[in-house]
Amino acid sequence: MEADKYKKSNDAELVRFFQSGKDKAAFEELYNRYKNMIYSYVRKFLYRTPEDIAREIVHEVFIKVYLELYTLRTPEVFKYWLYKIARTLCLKHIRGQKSIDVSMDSSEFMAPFLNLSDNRSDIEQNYINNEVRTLVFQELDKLDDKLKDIVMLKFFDGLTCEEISRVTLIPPRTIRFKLNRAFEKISRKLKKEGYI
Amino acid sequence: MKKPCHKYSRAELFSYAYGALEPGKKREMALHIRTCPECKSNLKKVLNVKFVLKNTPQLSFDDSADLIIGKAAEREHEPTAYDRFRERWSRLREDLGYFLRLHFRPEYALITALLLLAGTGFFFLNHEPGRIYLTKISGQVHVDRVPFFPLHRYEYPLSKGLQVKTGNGECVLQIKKDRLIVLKPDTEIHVRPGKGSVLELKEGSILCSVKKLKKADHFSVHADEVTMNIIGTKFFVDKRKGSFELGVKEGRISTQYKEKLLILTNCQVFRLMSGRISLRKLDRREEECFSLLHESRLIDDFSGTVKLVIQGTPPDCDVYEQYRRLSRTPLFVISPPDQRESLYVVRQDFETAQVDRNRSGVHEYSLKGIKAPVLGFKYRLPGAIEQRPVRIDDHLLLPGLNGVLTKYDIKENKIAWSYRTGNRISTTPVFEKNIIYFASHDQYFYAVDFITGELIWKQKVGTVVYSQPVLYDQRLYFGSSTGILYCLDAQNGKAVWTMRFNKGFYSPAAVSRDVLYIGNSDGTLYACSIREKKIVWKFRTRGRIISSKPLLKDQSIYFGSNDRFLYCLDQKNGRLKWKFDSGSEIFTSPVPLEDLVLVSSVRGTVQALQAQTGSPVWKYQTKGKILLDPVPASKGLICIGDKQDNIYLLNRFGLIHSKFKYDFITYTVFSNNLLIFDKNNYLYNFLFN
Repeated sequence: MEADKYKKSNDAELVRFFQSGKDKAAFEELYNRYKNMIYSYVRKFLYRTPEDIAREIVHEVFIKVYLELYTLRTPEVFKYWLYKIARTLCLKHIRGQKSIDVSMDSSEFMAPFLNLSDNRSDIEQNYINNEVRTLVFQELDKLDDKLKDIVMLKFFDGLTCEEISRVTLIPPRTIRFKLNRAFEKISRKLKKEGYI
Repeated sequence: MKKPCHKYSRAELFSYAYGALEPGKKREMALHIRTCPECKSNLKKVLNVKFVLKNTPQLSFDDSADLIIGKAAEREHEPTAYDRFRERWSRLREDLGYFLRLHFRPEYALITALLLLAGTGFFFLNHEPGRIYLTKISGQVHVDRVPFFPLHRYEYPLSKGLQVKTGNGECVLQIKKDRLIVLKPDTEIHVRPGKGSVLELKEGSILCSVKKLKKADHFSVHADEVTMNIIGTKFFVDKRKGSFELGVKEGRISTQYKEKLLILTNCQVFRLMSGRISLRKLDRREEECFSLLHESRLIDDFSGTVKLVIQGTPPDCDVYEQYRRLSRTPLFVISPPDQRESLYVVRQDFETAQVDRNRSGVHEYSLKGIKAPVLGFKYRLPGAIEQRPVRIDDHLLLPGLNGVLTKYDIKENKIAWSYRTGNRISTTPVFEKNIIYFASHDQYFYAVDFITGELIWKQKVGTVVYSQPVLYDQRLYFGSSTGILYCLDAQNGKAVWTMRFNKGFYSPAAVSRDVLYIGNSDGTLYACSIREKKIVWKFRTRGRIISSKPLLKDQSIYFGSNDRFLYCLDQKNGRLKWKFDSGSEIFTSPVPLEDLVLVSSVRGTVQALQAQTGSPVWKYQTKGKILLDPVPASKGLICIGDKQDNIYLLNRFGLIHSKFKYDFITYTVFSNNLLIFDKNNYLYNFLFN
């Protein structure tokens, strides 16, 4: 019954539960909801770093959430707040690194995402989908860090421009402008390969 | 077949699909897509990509929540930075309390408080409201507290007040930065101490000029019954026995007289004589006084020097400015009252200069030991002159523009003979043993007898010769504009030998010890052996060498190039000794001046360098471009003309000696004669000593 209560309530309610008195079950529910999403996000963001470091960063994100969730005044924005923390930590990690000198193909980094199949039975469609993702990812690799970050939030996490603005603290107009620039590059590549 | 629709690109469709468009455009696009089947299908593909990307499978993360909670719980008990700070602060406070409890005495607190009070009091008392600067112009000036006024300039803090009394002289009182007061003879003035400056006029007359006033009541003048609050910028006050006058040149002044408020505006004079008030206009003499004040205004820049700036500078008065800048020592005006025409200036090293105050500019100009140049004669020439003339004894050789070489007798003031060539004369004539050699645009080279003016020989060169010929050992050397170096026999004009180069010669050659040095327009300086007819060495620069004659001096060769550098090479092997960046292209020849080498560049800078090391000694900036070679004159002077029609005479130290303004074509100097050829075909001869 108790577990059911947490399962049915939304993020904001869970955050309120947690804030009312360090409700561990509420945190667990939130963690279970977002751990895959954040892990994927971090892996995509830091696709050149080894898996264990990404895992540590995710740990760090959730530790921070556990310790500082009581400071969040509007529980409705929990998701973006979480993304913001993840993004800040990732950027901090990138800044800490001196130079990245790995001469691997981006498709290799993409491998963990490609090996998973969609829930479809169509193998050919599955293959095409993976090709599209690889192409997009290769194009993303050429963009600079901040632009890549925005496009990733748009493509893979499906946030709107206003939400991205909340995460990155860049005004929505600038985000639109930057996105259009990225779209031009990506669409050119996809058109060349004949996917659109 | 239907045409493909090109209205929207794929990128725009992406933006549409992802909602990253401006609302207006989005609506427009939606309308289009509804009607256009092609765009619709494209959008479908894009949406498909969007779907695929959005449904990228997420990686599974299987660390349990308990792990995180455990880690967080550990972290929770770690002290934060704020905790650490608080702890340290509390420890410090405890230590301080302990210390105070041990050593505190009430006397200490009292002493500290007193010291603080004394410090603040000292600061406020010693705060200076400003300074007074007193500059003596002439005559006797008596200053209170300074029994003997030896200096020209005196500085005094405003906080202590000042009393000044002029005898038969004048002085300028400057309060703070913006108030300038000229005290006329027989005037007594008190400056009251304090922050707001108040002047008390006891007797006499003053001329005031206030640059800018933020508050109207900040500056006021008292004279017995009348108090003036100044808003105006230029005014005078005159107070004699029984009469009082107040005149305004610019601005507005409000005065209070027996509870009446009077407001005076531009060019009005208020007069009070035996209790009666009268108003009149400013007369011309008084206005002139102001214009003098306006022209020679002393402005202190608070760095210890007094600048004299003449405003509304007439065209030649910049000599004055030059003089001020070069002297680097304070200048003082000593204008004698009887001589209104000229302004005398004295420098601290007691050299005097006299400057004409008229609008026509500086004509009289005297320094210690040097007198201004005097016009010797003026003569109208039959035609215009192009090349620089040559003087031989009492004769001048004038290469005319219309192709006539004229010999002009200076003593008898008449033309001796003239020789006509086929076209314009292209080189400056060369003279030796009563024969004149020159080239013309008609592609011939001429040798003309000096006494009779008859042709001795002429030789067809084939092209125009711009490079001035050089005579050496009975042979003529010059380069043509097609790149051929000629060696002609001076007796009969036959070619002894020729050498071919890739590009043309425009600069004169120089010969020394059987070696000929000449700069080519491909930027290379060639040293050719005359006897063996071969190139000994060559030196390549980055620019073209045009009309810069190499200067041979003490085993070195100096020449300028279009790449802005002046080069100094060894005569023997052509090795670079030094080079100097002059800042712009060099078209002129370097000129020797004692142990210096002068180089003048296109932008009008004349720079003197040490001949041995190439280190710069001084620099002089003229107003226009310098394209003609400077000419050394007697007494170590150098004559330079620029394109703005100025001719400068500079001395060895880079100080200006004289300056002329004539619209000249060319000029030249012989011993102490300066010859100027102007555009109206006049020849002026100036003598200087």
